[in-house]
Amino acid sequence: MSEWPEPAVDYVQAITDTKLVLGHRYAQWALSGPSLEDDIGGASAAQEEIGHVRQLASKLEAQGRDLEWTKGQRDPDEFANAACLDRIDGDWTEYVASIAPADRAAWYLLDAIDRDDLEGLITKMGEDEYFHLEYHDARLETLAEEDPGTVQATLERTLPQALAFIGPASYDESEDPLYEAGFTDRPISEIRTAFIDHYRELFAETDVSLEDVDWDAPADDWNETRRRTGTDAITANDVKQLRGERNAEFALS
Amino acid sequence: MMTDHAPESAVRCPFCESTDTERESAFGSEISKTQYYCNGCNTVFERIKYDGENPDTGR
Repeated sequence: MSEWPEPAVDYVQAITDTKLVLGHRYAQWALSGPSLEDDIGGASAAQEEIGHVRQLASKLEAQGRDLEWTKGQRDPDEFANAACLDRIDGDWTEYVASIAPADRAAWYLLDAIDRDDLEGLITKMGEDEYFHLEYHDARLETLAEEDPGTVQATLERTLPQALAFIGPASYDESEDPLYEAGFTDRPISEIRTAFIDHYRELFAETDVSLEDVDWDAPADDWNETRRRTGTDAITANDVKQLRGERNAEFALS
Repeated sequence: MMTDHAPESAVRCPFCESTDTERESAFGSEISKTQYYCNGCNTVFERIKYDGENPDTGR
């Protein structure tokens, strides 16, 4: 396998970590949905995310990253997942409004990769993601009718965190190192615009206002490896569960 | 924003082949399925939405 340009391994690692934690959150909430269909859908999505992690982990290993480390043998602050997945405070509404931006952002970052050695894998992942994202949007629309205040308050926190995961607005055609290196065919600034436009359009006809969302996030102290600002992380207990320490049979092998 | 690509008129009941069908629910027993009701034979049926699409990224 040909070598990726320098920052690409961290870029793919962040997508992989987001999918790893996303799979974990889907599984944690798979018995908490308002209907059996939500629960079954969540369990299906969890399996798909973990399947994506397996595929991406093997690609990262080929680039020199330790497989056990990728699978979870590390400290919480070494995970580069989208910050909106660190913890879910609240109920089902907060859960949906936290995972949806993370899943969509991860897909946009994957879709931007322009590599022959990843093309088939990304297309297959997109076929899975088609249903995740469609489901999230449909659920967000119904929740916007039922509980617009909670949706709005959660998105005011999670959308800037998802934007930080995507990357800084300054990464345009001339500043985005992965676009310049040809690893991606779309600069971060363009991905951000598409992401922002999507949510503005989704909530345009609802009682959810996105006026107070910080669309300029992340701030200047952005960490390129962890694709976020600040030092927050998933909990040590999350890492234990990801590793399957309490029941190794269910761990990612 | 329900983006099932099949036009409503194309959804045919698998039991009586009537096209007099209505979408009952955007998600059936799985998120990849839509639930329909057939006015011809008064039966609920499911349709798999999958058509190999990738999610739109605003390109």
